Amino acid sequence: MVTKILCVAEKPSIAKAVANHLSGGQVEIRNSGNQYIKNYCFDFNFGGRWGNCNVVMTSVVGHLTGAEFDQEHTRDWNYPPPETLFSAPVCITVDKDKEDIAANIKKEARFARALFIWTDCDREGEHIGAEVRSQALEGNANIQVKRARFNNIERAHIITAAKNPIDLDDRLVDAVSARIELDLRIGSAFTRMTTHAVRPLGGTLAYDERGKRRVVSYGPCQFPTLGFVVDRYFRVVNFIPEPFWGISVNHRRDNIDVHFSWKQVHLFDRAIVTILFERCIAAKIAKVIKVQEKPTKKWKPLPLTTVELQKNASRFLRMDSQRAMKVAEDLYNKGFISYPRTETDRFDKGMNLRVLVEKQTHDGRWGPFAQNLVNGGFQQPREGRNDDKAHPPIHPVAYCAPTALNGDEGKVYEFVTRRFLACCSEDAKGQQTVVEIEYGNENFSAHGLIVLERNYLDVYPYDKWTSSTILPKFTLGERFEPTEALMTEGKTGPPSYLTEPDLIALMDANGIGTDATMAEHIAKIQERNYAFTRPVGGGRGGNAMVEFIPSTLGVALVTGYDQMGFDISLSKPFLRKEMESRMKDICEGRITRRDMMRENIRQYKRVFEQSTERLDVLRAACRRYVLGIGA
Amino acid sequence: MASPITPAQLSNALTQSGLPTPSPSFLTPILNTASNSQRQPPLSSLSATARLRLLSADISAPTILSPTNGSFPQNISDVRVKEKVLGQDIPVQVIDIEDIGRSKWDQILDLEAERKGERVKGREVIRVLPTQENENGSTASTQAIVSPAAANAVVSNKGPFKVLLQDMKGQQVYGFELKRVDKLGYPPGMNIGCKVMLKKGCKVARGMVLLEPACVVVLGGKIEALDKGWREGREERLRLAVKKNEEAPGRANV
Repeated sequence: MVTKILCVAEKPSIAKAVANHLSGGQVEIRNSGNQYIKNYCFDFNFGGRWGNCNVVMTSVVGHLTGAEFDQEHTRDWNYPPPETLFSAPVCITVDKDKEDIAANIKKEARFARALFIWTDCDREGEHIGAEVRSQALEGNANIQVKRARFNNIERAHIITAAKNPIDLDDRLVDAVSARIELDLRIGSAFTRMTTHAVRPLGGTLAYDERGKRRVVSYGPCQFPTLGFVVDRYFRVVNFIPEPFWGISVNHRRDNIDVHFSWKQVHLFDRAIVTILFERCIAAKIAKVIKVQEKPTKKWKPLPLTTVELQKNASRFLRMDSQRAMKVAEDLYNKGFISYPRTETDRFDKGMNLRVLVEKQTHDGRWGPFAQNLVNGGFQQPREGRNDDKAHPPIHPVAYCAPTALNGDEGKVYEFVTRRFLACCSEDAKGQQTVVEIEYGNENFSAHGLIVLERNYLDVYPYDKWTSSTILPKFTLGERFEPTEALMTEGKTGPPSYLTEPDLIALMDANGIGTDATMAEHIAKIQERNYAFTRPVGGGRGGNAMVEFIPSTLGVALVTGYDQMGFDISLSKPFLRKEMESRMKDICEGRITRRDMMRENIRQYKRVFEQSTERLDVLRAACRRYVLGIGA
Repeated sequence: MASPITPAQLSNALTQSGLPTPSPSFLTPILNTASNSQRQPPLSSLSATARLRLLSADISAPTILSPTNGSFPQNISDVRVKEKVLGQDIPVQVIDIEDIGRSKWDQILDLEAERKGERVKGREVIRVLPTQENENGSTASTQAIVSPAAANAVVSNKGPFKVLLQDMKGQQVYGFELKRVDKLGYPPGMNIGCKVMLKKGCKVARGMVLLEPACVVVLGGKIEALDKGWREGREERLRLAVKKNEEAPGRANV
């Protein structure tokens, strides 16, 4: 009898694409019992010990199961009290709307010799793989379990992955299941406590905007995310401008106006700047103390990571991070780009990048540039310091004509491709001139730049580097009387509200969420009405970048928890950062899931207990900011 | 038995190491305590004691420095005088200091973050845990957390700094760094009450001393009470100054 192998992907589109590649188009499509999921049946020769097999390729739709407390702890939010949620029993059950999917896997596993898991190769994917595994084992206790390692759905890559399966990494599975359980316990405990605390204050704290009983939801990632927004908000509103003074020197030579800027930029003391300025004027003559001409470069960008994609999407493509990720995922599902969730900013040395460049030579926009690289202009990309060991940087895997994509897809595909070609090109080169003068007791300098070779800039319009006016000739040691010296005056300006790229950068630097989840947390704080966005500078039109402003409730929550005065506030990134780094430890086998859970629950429980005693502070903040009492 | 150390010998030892000439009444108690004990300690240890006391003293008090030391000429603060040069060495102490290269608001934000035990490194917010010494109390009145290594290094590289200087007669005059002077900076790198020798030839313009390495010798030291008060009141003073700035019409709002 021919061996049967069951393959399960993370989403239907991947199942379909992989089935098509493996079968060469000879597929029989059957119903799975779920309207969105099909079972693809075909033959494939896996080689090695599996040989020629009957394959059933199906999929799940993301996670199959969810974590919930038992009945006793879900019925009433008051009893048992919220603190019991730190130790209450947690059940993992198949989501109600996914029972037919689970049944399909169980059924198909029954006569299969092996299960090949085709979920995305990242932490979440590994966990989903484990969920699939447990369903398959229920259907067939003897089934062997393997997983395919792939990071794009280009044909040759998929076939290689099918022939070289590896084992599921249970450490990643453990890390994710730990996070799910912790998020449930911590989120529920703090949500219930906070909700109870504020409802009795009445008004919009008792019933929300839609007339429902107010729920103040707490999430261990959302709160620090909100914390960044509120922190910046206060920096903007509390800001007080201060005057400063400077000295500016101009000189006209060969019909060119040269501006020399002050080394000290500006100082915050008028009397002192006045004295320095007077001494410049008194000195009358300036002396050239440095003339330097040196080659300079503008470095080509690093290979593209998820965080960079998100930041650039909101900066240049006018797309918020969630939208950008959705579009990138669609492009991945269609087989045009590699897996878009990656922290890696260096290409593996063994990867044949020239082949990928060659695929782009037919494009009307960047084709000639790519052709140039193929003809000898190719340079190995720069290497960043991050490698998640799972996925390469985001890059195009197949060529796609602009007509085949919708608007946003086209924009993201163009960005990914231009970025990739820029990486494979050469740094831009220029000549920089610096002239430094001593005038009175002060030093001033003028800079000139001539761009000599644009190189990567030709394909990457997102970076700007332009020549300045050419400086006239100055000779070292020469003395001259500047045409003009001025004392200038200005004042400091407030910082701007957080934009999405700022917020992503803050989350990234502080370990809040992963590249895969940051966009969700940002969306969550808006969904919960803790913060909202508006075009930068209050500008009009949908074309501007947005900035984040907290709602009164958002301000009240962060201020309330901050003012409780613990060494670790919930709105600060420290606790979550710790959790994320412990998850990494689990993945890398440094600690066990058990130890990690115990330590984390202890930390949060302590904060919980302290918070319970100081809820009056939170209530006062809510009264002040939300209800406008005692402001 | 060697003859006892004279006030002149001790005074000499101090001035040779760059310190101002102390008054005899400052030296007497040091020599007396020494001669009361069985064996008089060597000159080196006596002068070390004297040095330490001198650096921690308030030199504007009448009995610390010898009247032979230089002090500011009467019209030193006259803003009508475009430039003059000090005709002699003048020992002074720093009684206030301000970084004029950064806005006060920025400095307030830093102090706030320090108070909360946070520090920002690039975009990353870092929690600063108090070091052992700070937990044990002692004199740390602010939460400035500085490792011994950092404290020994060249004092804060920000600036330039504006300082308020006081001579032995109590006259006060502002000075600022025309060129960077390494050991000047915010406490705890330099302390309030730090002694400085302004060398002959040092320039004064429009009532302000122009500080540069060639004419300034930073001797160190501090006046404990002054230093403590300065640190504790710093944030408050900055806030008041910023407020005043804001309320002053016209000037700031270009």
